[in-house]
Amino acid sequence: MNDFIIETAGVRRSFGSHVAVDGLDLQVSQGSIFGFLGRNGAGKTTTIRLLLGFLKSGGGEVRVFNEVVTGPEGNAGLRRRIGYVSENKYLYPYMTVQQIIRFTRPFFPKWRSDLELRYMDMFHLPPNRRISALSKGMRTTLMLLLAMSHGAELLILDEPIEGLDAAVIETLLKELVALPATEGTTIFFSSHQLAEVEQIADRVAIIDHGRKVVEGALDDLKVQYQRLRVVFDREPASISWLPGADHVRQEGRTVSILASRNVEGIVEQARSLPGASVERFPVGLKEIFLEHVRGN
Amino acid sequence: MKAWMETRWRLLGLAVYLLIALALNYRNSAGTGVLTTAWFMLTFLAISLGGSGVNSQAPLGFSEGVAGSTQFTISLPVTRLRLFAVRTAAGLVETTAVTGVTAFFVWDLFPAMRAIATPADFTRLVLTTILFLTAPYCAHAFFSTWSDEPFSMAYAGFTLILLLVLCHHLTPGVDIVRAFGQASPLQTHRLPWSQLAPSVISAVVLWLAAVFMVRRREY
Repeated sequence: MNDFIIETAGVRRSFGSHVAVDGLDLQVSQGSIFGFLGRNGAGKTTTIRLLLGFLKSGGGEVRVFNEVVTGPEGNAGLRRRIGYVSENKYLYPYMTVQQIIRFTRPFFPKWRSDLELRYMDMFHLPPNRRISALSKGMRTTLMLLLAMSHGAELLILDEPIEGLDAAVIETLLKELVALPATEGTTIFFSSHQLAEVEQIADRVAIIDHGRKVVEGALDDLKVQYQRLRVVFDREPASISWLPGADHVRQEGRTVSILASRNVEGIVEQARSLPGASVERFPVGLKEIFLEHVRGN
Repeated sequence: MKAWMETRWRLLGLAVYLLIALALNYRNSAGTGVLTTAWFMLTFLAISLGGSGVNSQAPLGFSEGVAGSTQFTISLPVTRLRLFAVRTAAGLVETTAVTGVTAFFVWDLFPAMRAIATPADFTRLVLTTILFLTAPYCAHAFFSTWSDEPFSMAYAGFTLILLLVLCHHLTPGVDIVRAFGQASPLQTHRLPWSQLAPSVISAVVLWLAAVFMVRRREY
């Protein structure tokens, strides 16, 4: 037993010859807000579908609430504890908002009518409007309502803020940040909106080509990663930088380095080079993300 | 609720069409074609309602997002088997109900029918029809687990025709068509079990195959 709500070990999944998820290890602690990042096609949605058991893994192990996720045939009880917002945001188009709530409610014995009313009001959802007549943003908020009102212990949200306006995003982010404290909920979400991820996530993982390239607490990553700008008085020859200089770009006399460890050593190395001056800058999540996925 | 919302318009539409067909036969008075008409329409109805895999059926006027809503359906905390079983049961109840209503109108509106059949024989005929309809219904249920409408309906129709032709050429003992002809309860005063066996066995096999598909398929 451990306190990880989600734990994957060496998970693989291919579609034909395309490897979508390649030996992925993830650990998500209870009560955390975990941002799961990657480019389009990096394997985020496949990973989420593996976590929910929609797909069967082609190797490794997926555990959610310490239960092994077996694939399409099993884990119905597990899904009672999970609130899910899918990437496509499709619900039954012929139902109204009120009808889909009435349809969904009986599946979840811990349904919270107080939260249902709160989110109906918060997201300004029209109860009698058909889902086919809702905007994509409204469909997203309706899916969020369904996921967040059933007393889920884990929210798995695939691009939950896509299509939402700035005001709704702000409201939603505040609500999501409060959930771990008020309800003890764990949140695992994927997003392309790095600024919003940075605003609420306490831990992030970045995947690229199905492999995890970065994982850590957001605060630690911000401390750990630094941008070094080394300016030489003339264009330098090729330099073999110390380990930790993850991404090095040279433009004329300037060398830009994203360092993930051994920052002091790399600074010392730069200063020891003839005619070099060194500046250090903090980096944001966007910069870490771009450096890791760019050109791969 | 979901099944009803998806199928109500096709159910009501076909029921109205069926009643019109019965009325036209009524005006032609002899009423000899009424059973053939009803049999044909009910078969079509069973195929139409049978698309009850895990995918949603597209009701009249709604197409966008119906297929995509499968992700929501499978995220609900019920087993695939239960999802499928509840849905097929709902569709079979609808089919049975329409068959019952049709039978009532045929019995009530056509004096010729009352002249050639006793209530017991007519009830046996209705039961024969319902048992026969399980085959086209389950054929569409099976094909809908891996194919979208209207292709799944077409495949189910072809499968039914194949079954009818095959049984017709095998031996009169398993000729399904005879269940509504020489071996009909109106002629023999008993249920045509041997002629119904291919339908019922096919329905069970197709339903089990559908369950197998539904439980393993990655939507």
